[in-house]
Amino acid sequence: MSRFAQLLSAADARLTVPEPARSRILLEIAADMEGLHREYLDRGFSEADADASVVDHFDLSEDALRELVRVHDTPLQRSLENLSGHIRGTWSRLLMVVLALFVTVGSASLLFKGQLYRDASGLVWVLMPILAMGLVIAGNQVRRLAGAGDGWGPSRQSGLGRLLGLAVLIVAVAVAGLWVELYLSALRVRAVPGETLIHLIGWLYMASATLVIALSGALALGFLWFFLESRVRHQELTAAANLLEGIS
Amino acid sequence: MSPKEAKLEPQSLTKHFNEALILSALRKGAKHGYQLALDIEERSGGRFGFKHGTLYPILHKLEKDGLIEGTWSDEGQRGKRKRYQLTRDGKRYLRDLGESWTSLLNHFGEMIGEEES
Repeated sequence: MSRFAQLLSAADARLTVPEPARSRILLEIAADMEGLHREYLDRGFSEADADASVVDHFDLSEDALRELVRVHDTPLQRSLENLSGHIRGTWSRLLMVVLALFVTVGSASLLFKGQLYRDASGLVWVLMPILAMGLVIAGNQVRRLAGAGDGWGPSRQSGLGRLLGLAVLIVAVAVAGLWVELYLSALRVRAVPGETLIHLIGWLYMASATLVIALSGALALGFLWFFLESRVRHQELTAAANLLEGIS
Repeated sequence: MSPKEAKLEPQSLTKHFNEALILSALRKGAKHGYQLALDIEERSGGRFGFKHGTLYPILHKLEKDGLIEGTWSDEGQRGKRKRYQLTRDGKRYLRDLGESWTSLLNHFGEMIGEEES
């Protein structure tokens, strides 16, 4: 428990920004309070004077809290909080695991067929580096999380948002590519009108194969984000709760 | 996101003033939030004091605007702490902000120092 738990608890109660920003702000303030306290002790303050000076300097005014809310309470952060908040319950997480397994097994049975890649648009090879980048980011996060045990460091969170961005990018590139392929098919139909059905069916094969690959990749990154975000959030909340331990 | 412009708006002078103080305190290297407040107070000879509580909204806004970057590091016995440092955009913004302040204060000085003819 922090020696300034009372003050942190008061700030916690008045800070209405979405998680994980709230825990991070509290942890940053707590770390700075400890740093300033040590600084005052180094300057020759008594323990009591150092405590009092820190408490005086860290008084969070209503204006300051309002400004913090303005900076951190954006619609995107609020919706991300709601989204990841839904997976905190045991049943919700179990459902996510089952869903992830179902999608993984289902996708894997298709993805390991060479035919799928032959049918898919050449664009699939553009999607692969994006997916690989996402897997590298996720791998780094897993390594950091595993290496730090139950310790906490918000820097581990950095990069997680990019997983969602890459998932969206994969789908966006695939959909945009399909429109281009559709246009190319239309040009072929115009050149040889008698082969309309052949080109249309060819495009459907190509579109469905491309979408299977793109959506599988996007879902994989989405699930990785869910689980990593959930783990980091759990650590941050635990660390924030430890700071406020014993304060009701 | 395009870099923020250092344009002094009369209704936001206090905000720009605080930004300039914080950014200038980071010019010599990365600092923790509490070190920033102490540094500003010491460099100004006690004229400009920051309540640490008011520092965070400004720091987080500057971080969001990409002018500073906050990173957490493990400092052993001292635990995990967040340090801020200027980004390239932040250095440019600080330079522009300095020029804008100098120009404004010179102009202001000339205005209030004008003798009646």
